[in-house]
Amino acid sequence: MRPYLFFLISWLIPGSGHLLHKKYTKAVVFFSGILLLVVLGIIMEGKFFLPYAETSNNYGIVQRQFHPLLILGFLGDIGLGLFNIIVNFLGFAKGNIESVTYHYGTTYLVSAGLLNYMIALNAFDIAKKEGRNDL
Amino acid sequence: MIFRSHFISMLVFSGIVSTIIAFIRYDDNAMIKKEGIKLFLYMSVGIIAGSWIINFL
Repeated sequence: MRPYLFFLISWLIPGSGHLLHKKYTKAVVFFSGILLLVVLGIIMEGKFFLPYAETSNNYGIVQRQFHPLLILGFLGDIGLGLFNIIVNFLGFAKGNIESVTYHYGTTYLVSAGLLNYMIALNAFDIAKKEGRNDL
Repeated sequence: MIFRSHFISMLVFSGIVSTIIAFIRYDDNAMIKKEGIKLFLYMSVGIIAGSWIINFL
């Protein structure tokens, strides 16, 4: 069961799993790389996906419609772990569709989340190979 | 707002993503450098080629 903890920790804070494996260079590269993608995504006025789209009908009643593509984008974004929570808490990454860089910003954010899944899986893989049960 | 140029946005994106993937895949410094450059070129050249083809559609 313990390698799963490495996955969880690495998912929450990018690079932390590798830090626990004493792979310091990788930990720094992963943390700074993901942070850079998130910061650039925010500056470029990208947005975090919501799993639904809000539409209003003729009576002005707002309805939430879930869509598979939005759900996939949402799953990509929650790959950022704590970064996602912090950015949402601070009220960033709401997106500005009028911005020239809106789509690139959104791509930066979702790619950062997907890369963090890969980083967390790598930390899990290393823990499993080394048979680590000390966490 | 930064990176008004989509080309520069693409190059920066390719650079960061290829570096992270190279570090995920390999432990050896020489291999990381080789894989990083290879991925960066694949992404950049692939996107430029794709954009050029789309231009004719």
